[in-house]
Amino acid sequence: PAGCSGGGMASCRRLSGAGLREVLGPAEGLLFDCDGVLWAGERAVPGAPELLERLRRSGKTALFVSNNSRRSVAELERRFSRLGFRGVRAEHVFSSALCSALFLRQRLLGGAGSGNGAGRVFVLGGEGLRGEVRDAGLRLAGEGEPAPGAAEPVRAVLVGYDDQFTFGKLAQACGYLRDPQCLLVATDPDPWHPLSDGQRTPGTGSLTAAVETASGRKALVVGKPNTYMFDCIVERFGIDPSRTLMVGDRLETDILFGKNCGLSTILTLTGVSRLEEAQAYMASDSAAAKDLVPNYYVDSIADLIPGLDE
Amino acid sequence: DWAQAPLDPAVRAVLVGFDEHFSYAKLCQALRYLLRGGPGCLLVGTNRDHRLPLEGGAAIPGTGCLVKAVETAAQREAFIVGKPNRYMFDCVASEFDIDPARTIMVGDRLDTDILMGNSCGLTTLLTLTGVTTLDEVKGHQESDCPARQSLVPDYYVDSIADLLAVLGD
Repeated sequence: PAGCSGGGMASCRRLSGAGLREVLGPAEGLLFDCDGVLWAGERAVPGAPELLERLRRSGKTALFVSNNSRRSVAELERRFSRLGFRGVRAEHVFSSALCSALFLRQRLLGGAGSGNGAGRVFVLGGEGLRGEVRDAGLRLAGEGEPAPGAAEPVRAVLVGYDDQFTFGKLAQACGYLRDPQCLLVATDPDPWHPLSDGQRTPGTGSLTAAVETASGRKALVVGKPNTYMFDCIVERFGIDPSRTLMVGDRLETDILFGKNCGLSTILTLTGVSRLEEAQAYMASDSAAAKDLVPNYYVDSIADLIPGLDE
Repeated sequence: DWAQAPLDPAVRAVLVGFDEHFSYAKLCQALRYLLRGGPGCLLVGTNRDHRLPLEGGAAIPGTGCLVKAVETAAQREAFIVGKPNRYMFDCVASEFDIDPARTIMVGDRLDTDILMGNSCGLTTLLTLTGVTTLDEVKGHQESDCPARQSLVPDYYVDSIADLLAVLGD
């Protein structure tokens, strides 16, 4: 099997040379996080487009799993192309926006109580997220609407990256959540995201914390490190975890996700997490910390190219 | 774009209170100040109340929600001034010569008023004209959990008007 996942602690080894071939050779496919792995802002990581091209030529699958809930997968497909990545189609991309919509579709439309009474979804997020929810066949609650109960009931509140978040929307969400049948779902747990100038912008996790505190409820979190997005990938592409590698830049989401899904993990250092943080987790006594240690690391995913056949 | 708006160089604290105009942009600015200042920029919250009850069982989000949003984005804990933390009691005690053993804390909320009173060594008196029911108190009283035990008041009255009966003219 690819790498050495399952049983025993990961040891955060640099992947290069013969070790690189041993790990990549048997792998049938790779799952990539996007931000901080393939690109940073509007700039592709040097060598990343070439890596994907070489993976394709080697007959290995490349799929993409991102906690970023801002864009629809159609927009992401255009972004891949614009940044120089060829051959990536929307069906290869699993964003937390798409998977949250699929999750809600399952829960609101999939069961015996579906059909006429499916209910609406109150979305805290941008147009990309709202579009994915609509595309899944769900109806959205408008903003500033009359009191709950006046129209078709709101059966879920979905918290995503919402740069138009306000106290008023928080209060409105809480109103809907007074109904214990109304689900509280969050696209991802990320507390902040890096900006290209070294600044940080608040993430969905911080908005979810506000909604949870006000409503007294815990959100169901769709994104990494939870495994639902992996279920979506397996359902569509039927991959074998023991022959698949997870490549990401954030220990608390990507690497833990890999561990939770039974994948070997590779940390790339072009994004959020520093090597020192991985080493600190490795040195920690806590069992939870050990799950955040990657099997391998590289400075950039371009370093994987020599592991593939010419 | 709020991420580009200039920061005030003199800011050395972010204070989170009840803000019905809270927005993502403000959250973003708070995060920028906290990152710029590191431990040199204080993060203070006025209180952690989850919600403010309205009539009919509805409620509006409390300051605690906004504090949590900032704490999560900044990955650090705020210093909370309000009850049940003892800071406000310390303010009162420093200004008015108070003997806790001879002082009664009167409140309607177990996890703020009564908890603070108990933590500060005051006698605690619950009034039932607010958010708390006697059943809730009994639940805590019968629990094995020490944290819940510290929410139990020494005494209760139906209303503070009941105290008139024992006060002389």
